[in-house]
Amino acid sequence: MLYNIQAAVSNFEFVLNFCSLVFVVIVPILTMRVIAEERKQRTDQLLYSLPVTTTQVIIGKYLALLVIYAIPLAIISIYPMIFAQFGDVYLLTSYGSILAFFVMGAALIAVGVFISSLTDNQGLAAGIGIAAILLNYYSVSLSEYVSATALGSAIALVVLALILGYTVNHLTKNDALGSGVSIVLILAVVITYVLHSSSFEGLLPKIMKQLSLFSRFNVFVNGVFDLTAMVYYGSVIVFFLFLSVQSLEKRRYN
Amino acid sequence: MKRQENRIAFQGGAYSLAITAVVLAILVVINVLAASLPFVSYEI
Repeated sequence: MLYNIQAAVSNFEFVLNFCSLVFVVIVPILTMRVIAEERKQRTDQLLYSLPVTTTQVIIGKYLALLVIYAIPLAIISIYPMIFAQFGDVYLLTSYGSILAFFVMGAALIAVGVFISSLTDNQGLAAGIGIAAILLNYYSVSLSEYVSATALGSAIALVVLALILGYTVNHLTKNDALGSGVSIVLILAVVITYVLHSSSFEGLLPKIMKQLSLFSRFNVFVNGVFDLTAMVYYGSVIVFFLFLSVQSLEKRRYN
Repeated sequence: MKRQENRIAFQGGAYSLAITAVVLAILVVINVLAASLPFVSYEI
């Protein structure tokens, strides 16, 4: 609101755009202990013994976090009405932006829940969460500085293949499968690079821009209700909640 | 005993990876379909 008073504008969506950086702090704080603390205190064993599925446990925890997140947003939703008393407010743009702000926060909370499910140290979960969200916040700016050459993108994909191989190895406890996945993916990258290196030009910056959650929110601030962004946010929510379920399931078979 | 544990870990991990790949593929297809929708604009 201070921004609106200083700049003498009544567009509420600018406020949301301005304060989206708070997600870097509030999401990790909100989510850091949601599963990590259960693991530390061994109360997750109780969750496994309850007559509910792991999916239901994760969805229950996620919905509880969403309710906590929705309460301040419900209060904020009154602000455009207050602004409308003192100037011309585009209510559709304002409420469209509030909805997008909510869904973007919901996507970030899903990421936070997944990070919390990876460790039993809530401080570490918060640290990784802050780093991940900060990286996503500045990913568009950072994409200007990373290598846009074909070789740079190929190296990034090779690193990604190695990480994927390590993940496969970690999940299956099978060295041959992990190494095999890495080798196959690296070979695929190398062959594609040799045969069609132009397809790698600018790939890394493009991926970084496409994965940004925050840059898609700017479209709503400019008065466009972007359905693709909503679908993307929904996909992020589904994917990370699914990964959280898999992370809990892993403790069953390991 | 160790071999049995490794077998369970392998089965669980392989199933987890396979189902994650399927979910990821479905989400990518949904996003591609959403991106191909025509742009509609309204004056407000």
